[in-house]
Amino acid sequence: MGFLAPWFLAGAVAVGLPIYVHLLRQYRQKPVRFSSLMFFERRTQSSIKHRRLKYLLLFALRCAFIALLALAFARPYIHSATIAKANGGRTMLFGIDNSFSMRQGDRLSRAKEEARAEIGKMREEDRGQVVTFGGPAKLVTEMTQDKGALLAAVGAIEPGDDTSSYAEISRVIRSTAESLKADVEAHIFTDDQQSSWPAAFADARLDDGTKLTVHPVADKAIPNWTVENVDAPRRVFDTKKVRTVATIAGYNTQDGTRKVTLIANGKAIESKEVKVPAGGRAAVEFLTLDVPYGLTRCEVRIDGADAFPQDDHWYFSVERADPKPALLVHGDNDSASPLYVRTALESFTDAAFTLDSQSTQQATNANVSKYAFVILSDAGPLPAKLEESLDSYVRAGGDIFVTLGRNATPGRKVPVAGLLITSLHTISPDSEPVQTATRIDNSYPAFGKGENWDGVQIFQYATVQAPEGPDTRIAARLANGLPLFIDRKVGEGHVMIFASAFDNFANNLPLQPVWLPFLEQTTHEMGGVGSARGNYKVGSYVDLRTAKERNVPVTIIGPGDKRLLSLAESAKATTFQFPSEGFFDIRRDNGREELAAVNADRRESDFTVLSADTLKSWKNTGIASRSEAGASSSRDKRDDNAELWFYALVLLAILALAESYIGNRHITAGTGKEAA
Amino acid sequence: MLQRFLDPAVLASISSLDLVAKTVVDGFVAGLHRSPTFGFSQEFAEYRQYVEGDDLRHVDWNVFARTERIYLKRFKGETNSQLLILLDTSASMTYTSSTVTKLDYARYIAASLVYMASQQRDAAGLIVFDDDVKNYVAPSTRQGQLMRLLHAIEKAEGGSRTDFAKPFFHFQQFLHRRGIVVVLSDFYEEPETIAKVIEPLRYHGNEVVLFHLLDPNEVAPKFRDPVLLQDVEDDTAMEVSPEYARNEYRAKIKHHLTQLADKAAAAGLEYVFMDTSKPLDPALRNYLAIRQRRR
Repeated sequence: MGFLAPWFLAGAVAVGLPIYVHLLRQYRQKPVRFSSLMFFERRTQSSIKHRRLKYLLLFALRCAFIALLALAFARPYIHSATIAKANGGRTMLFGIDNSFSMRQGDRLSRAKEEARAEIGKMREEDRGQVVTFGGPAKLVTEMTQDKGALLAAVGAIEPGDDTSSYAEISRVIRSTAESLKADVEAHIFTDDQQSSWPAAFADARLDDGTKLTVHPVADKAIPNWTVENVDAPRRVFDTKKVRTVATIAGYNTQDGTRKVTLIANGKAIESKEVKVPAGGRAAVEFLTLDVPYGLTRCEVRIDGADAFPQDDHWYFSVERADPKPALLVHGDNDSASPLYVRTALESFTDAAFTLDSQSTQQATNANVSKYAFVILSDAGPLPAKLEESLDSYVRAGGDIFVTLGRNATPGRKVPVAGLLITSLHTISPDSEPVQTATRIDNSYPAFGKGENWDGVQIFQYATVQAPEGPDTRIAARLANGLPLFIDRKVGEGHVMIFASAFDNFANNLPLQPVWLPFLEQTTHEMGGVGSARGNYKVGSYVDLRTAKERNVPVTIIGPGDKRLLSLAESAKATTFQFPSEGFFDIRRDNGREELAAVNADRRESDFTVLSADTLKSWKNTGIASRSEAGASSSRDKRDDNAELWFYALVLLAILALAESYIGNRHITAGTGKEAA
Repeated sequence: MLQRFLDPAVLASISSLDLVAKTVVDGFVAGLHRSPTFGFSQEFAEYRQYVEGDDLRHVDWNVFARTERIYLKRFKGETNSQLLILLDTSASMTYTSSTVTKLDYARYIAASLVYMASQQRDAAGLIVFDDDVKNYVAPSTRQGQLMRLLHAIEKAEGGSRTDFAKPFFHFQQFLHRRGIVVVLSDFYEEPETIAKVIEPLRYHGNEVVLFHLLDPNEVAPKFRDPVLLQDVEDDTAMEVSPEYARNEYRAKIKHHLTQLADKAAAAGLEYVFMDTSKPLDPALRNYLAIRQRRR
């Protein structure tokens, strides 16, 4: 037991006050005049009795009140160790690493064996808990004294594909110590991977009094080859234009040549040999990916010939589809923008779109619903029918891109968006500065890659009245503050407005390097190509529903053709965490299907073990803190110890009530009955 | 109902001492009228033939006119009684545990007695003393004597300590005629000393009545806690435990009262204990009884 503010104990000298009131003051009482003392006698007994405390109980209450008040202010606490002792026995935590790397050899079974041995050493009064930390830490059991339950839990632990983290297990140890207010004796069974160590040492710190014992199941690094990553397009529109790049890495390996095979739907498509330097990386490029239409399970595999074959592959999925048609409507006097846009779309590696360019008049009767997106490139006033079609198209969820050039008419509204064009300004370079793009919002998908817009000069722009609000977002502005890029939500779709045109008259954007990524991101966003991911890591999440698919049931079929969602989850779950490696087929009842390829984090492939110094430092965080407990701050103490001030206050309240009652009784009795 | 007017607590609310005396005596007499035993007033007793030496003032001249014989008219109350009141005004007499001090109580008794004496045409006098004689009003039946006595009683204030020896030596010089001597005191002195000092008063044929006035808290003090008592006469202080006050003190005061009564009886003194919380009528009753006895 100790005190957080011991100087307040000095207040206990105030106990002298009731002593003065009851003892000294009473002794020097006012004499009572009496007619004659002829029949009285001075007796020692009387004197002694007089010195006796007059109101023993009241005196005791008042003394206790003051002492307790001083005690409460001094903030007493009981050290957590005391509580632990009071509870009896040790508080033990058995952390078992079941991460992907523990699949190597018999690491996991050895870890479990050692855990069983440690559990067997538990005394009857000890309590323990089993935790796995091959990924997010999981409490496998309650804190229990039942050894049988702990042993059974250890036996049931399966290897996982996730990544272990010593920060995670340290957090669990800390929270256990804090919640139970006890010193924890932690036993960690792991392969001591260096890659599991957190970037900041503080993340792995342990609380005061924590005793950490690491039971390593590996004492040295083993050489390991792995497919570290595969860069492949999510969608394939032209199999001849697909570029797949695989990165082969070696950890603790000598330089050597590895055979790399590209596999699609279990069938080897192409093999290559690659020379990997010692402990380094090498890239392998496959230029064709001849896959059938639809979703295809692809894999890059190496002949690892090492002790850990589980990471000698990399799963990825591709979707073969025809390019989607896109419509570009341009003004009769605009021949530049179709050229620039078409050239850009064709230059994209995935060639996801085929461009259908039509003049405003030609597009009057166009069936816009069949297009992935529509670009109104300085189209000028639209025929009413086309505008109507576009309005329905956007409200149903389609996206259109509007550019405003010399055909923009001040006083008219931007089609579908309904925003007023107030003016069209052409800059005279001799009299005023050329406008540039400023205040670019990189969180907007069209600017997501953060390209440099500094070289873009804008000579002609339209001024659009676009008050920002929940449906209107200004993603870029001109140097003079006017909106340059506006996103207007209409119904379920969006209208994107570029306040200049895609030609070499209004600006020089199509001639700048930023043109291609800007258009690629914009068209992919509008066409829905860039929104889906194909590759995930174990433990990551996937969104199961868009806003439109709120009521659409989802089915996930995992490796081994197992359905992974319950009926309730199928109807309501919004996300899903991938638990293991493999392909996960995500099917929605509206027909949208997604094939997620999930791979283990390749940090788990690096078997470099943690240095002895780091391990020692980790263990010492709890011990060092304990030895410095005396010098640590009050805040630390408060966190780690059970404070008693609350109980002292409750007792104070009770004492105050009792003192009032008894004091009042004495006053009543004194005034009513006391002679003299 | 009339008894209520003899209650000292009620009398304390009456500021005028003559009114107090009148209230007490009238109330007391009203009570007596219902009694067949005692008589009071100038009641006709008998006619007696004149003999030489009789006072001619008592001759009934109406009878002489009718019968030419000289007869004297005798009354029952006609005596040569003299009342002398000795009022102790020592400091201890100022003690009280309620509203009426022992001195107040003694004043009421004294006033009542002198009032009653004046009604009886008895000569009444007063000696006020503490450790010496403070005031003396010689017994007389002169007109205005009652007012002089009441004034002297009213003026009597608490003095210093009691010393019976010195004033009582002087008292004997004032007693030239036999009568009734009433001593009003709390008698904080040894019974032997009191008896020894007062006994000589009887030598002239006086009837001596000791009215022993004590506050109820003096007889049976009630202290809940140890208390520091200070003697009002000599200012000495003493710690007193409630246990002592409850046991030993009570025994001692009881013994003192018994001793005093015994010694007084042995010395031929009338002794009457008066509790100052009780009505005054025992004092008046005793006085009348003694006066009756002296006829």
